[in-house]
Amino acid sequence: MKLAKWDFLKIIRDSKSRVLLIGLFLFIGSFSYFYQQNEFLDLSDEYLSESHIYLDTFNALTDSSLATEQGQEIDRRLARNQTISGMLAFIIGQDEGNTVQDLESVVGDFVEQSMELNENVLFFYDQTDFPQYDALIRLMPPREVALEQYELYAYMAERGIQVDANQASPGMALYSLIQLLSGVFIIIIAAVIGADSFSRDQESNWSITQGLPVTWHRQWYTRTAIHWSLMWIVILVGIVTSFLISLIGADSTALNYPVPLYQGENVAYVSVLTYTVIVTILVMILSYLALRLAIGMSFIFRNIYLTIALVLMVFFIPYAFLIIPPMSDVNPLLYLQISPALEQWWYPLNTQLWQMLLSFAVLFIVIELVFLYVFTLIPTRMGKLERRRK
Amino acid sequence: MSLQVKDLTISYGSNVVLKDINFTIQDNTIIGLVAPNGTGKTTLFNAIIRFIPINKGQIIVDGKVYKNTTRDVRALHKLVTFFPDQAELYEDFTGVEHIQMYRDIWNPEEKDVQKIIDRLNMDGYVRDKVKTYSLGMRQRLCFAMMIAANTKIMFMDEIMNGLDPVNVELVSRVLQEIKEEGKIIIVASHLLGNLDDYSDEIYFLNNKDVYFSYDRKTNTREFIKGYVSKDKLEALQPLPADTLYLETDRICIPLDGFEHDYDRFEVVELLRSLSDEEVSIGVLGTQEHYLRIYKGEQSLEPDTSDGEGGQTDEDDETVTGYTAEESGTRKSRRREETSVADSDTRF
Repeated sequence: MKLAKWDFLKIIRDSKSRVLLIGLFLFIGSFSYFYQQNEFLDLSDEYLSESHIYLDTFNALTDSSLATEQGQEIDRRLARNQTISGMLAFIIGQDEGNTVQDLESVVGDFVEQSMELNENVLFFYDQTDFPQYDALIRLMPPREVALEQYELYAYMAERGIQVDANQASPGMALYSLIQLLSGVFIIIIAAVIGADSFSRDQESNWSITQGLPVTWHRQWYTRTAIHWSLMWIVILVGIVTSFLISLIGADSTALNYPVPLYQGENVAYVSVLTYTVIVTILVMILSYLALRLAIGMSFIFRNIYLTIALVLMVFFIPYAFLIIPPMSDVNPLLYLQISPALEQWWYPLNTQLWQMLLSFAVLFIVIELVFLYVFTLIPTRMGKLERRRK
Repeated sequence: MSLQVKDLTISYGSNVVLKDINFTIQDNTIIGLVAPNGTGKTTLFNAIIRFIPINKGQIIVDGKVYKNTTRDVRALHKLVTFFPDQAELYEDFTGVEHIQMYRDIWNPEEKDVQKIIDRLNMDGYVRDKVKTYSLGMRQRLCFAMMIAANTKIMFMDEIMNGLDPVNVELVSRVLQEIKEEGKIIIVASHLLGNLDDYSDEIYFLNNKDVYFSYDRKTNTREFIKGYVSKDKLEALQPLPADTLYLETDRICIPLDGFEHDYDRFEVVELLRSLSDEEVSIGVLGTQEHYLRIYKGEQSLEPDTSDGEGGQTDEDDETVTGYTAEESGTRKSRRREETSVADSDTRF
């Protein structure tokens, strides 16, 4: 513990660490402000353009196809979806929630109608015996999308969540920030913070840092813990600051707004807040591993750029595996990028949270074993690692 | 406590730097380690403290062999500290923080670092950032860090670098004081006269080994020590056996080579008349041994020709490897460095 105090002071007084931490705070803390400056798509227009899908599909179908009982039902549902699209466009354009005041009986409920719309799309996909099946589904959104959308609105209906037309709401800004953090961004930050942890001492303070009655392995743990704690204090304070900034002028936090979380082949909808907590915990674990790796490598390499590059390479390996499809469903490194894994980019990996945690544990053990050996070597003043001779 | 080094061999590739070194040091001892630059003093320290791989040999402290395992190395590092390089201090830390850091790591029971600060007269600057320190202030801080660590075995490499005479004396005194606390201290220094002030034994590294050592307590044979140029040597003839004539025209004549006191007095007077340099009587010091070992003895035959014509020890070439030019530079400097030991009788 005594050494930890001095390691902490060394880190906190290092100008590089200070600049990095302050920069990290400013970036994360101001994220929501800049996010809200984006120009978002007009959802009303989106829904209106969607209504043409159903009209065009109707026009593509022949009268004879629609004359049957099955055709009649398809016709009815196509017409209904066209109507619903118009209603949804109007409701979302008013930005009052699930309906429009005083026009409830005319425009209906946004969530209920959205469920009906997607239910109808799924119905179309089920009509495989329809003579013009291909024409029927050609313009439809993919079945998986319709299913996900149905579950999204079912989730909202179940919890009485109002639709929010504000895509720059505090909840959405937070969601975007967490998605950013869960990508390569956090790996870069971890690599840069940890890349000179040992090498700086070896270069500038060799005679003071050699010969301590504390093993390198123990010092590795201590330094990782300190860097990780500092990094996450800054990130968490930054997230809170960003969220507070986003609340200025907002009419709701929208923290309960649903966002998708893929679990195996199924999509589960969770609130932005739940998503934030789950992904933040995963990112915290992942960043710990990345820091551990970077700090460990700084014991081997004095060139910090090499260390940063190597750490990033490890976390970009998943992309290399994408070009070898048979490997993509067995490679645990695919879980090293949380966001793509959670959004099922690594199909057919069918990510489960427990699989991600297991992968992290495996990576932890691999790093541990490698550096158990590395820390038996002697860092000489010349910058080499020498093997202890028996 | 004892520190034993057994059959220690160090090589860098095919270049053997130290070979089969053996010595044992008991506690309450200060060893002066002397050798020209590049002969392996720092390598010896680094090897004992396991900062470099050793090819062969054992490090034994109190009868326990400290092997090359992580556990043993860590245990060894609890017992041994190495004098920090003043250029490698943390520039943004204060002196007090450095002292506290070493105290916290090695000697957490010690609460009061102020005693160390007072002892080394550092109170005036020790709370400033290290980046404001002069070389001497940094050097004293490094010494204070060692005192704070308070390990049983201390390696002090080039400890007096950059210190003014007052601080050399201060550090020398503190070294003697901490030695009495049961320490084993090895000091590598080029201030040879100063080593005589506090060392119990002097080790001379040469030929990849501890070539020669002498215990200052048992080294009681006295010499008349003075300077005489080669062309005036004849005036001193005949000289007794074991007379040393060393580089820088230093001559050391054993007192026991004369039967009567008046003979000795006569030689002293003669030496004074032959040179303006001081003549003294005392035991051979580190300086004389250094010259003898690394620069070789010169012939006592009077030289009528011009030039030095000194006899060079067979090993000298391989040990020192000085060029003539370097040797000349050292010669003039050594004349200044050669001090008369406190115990010597001066004339």
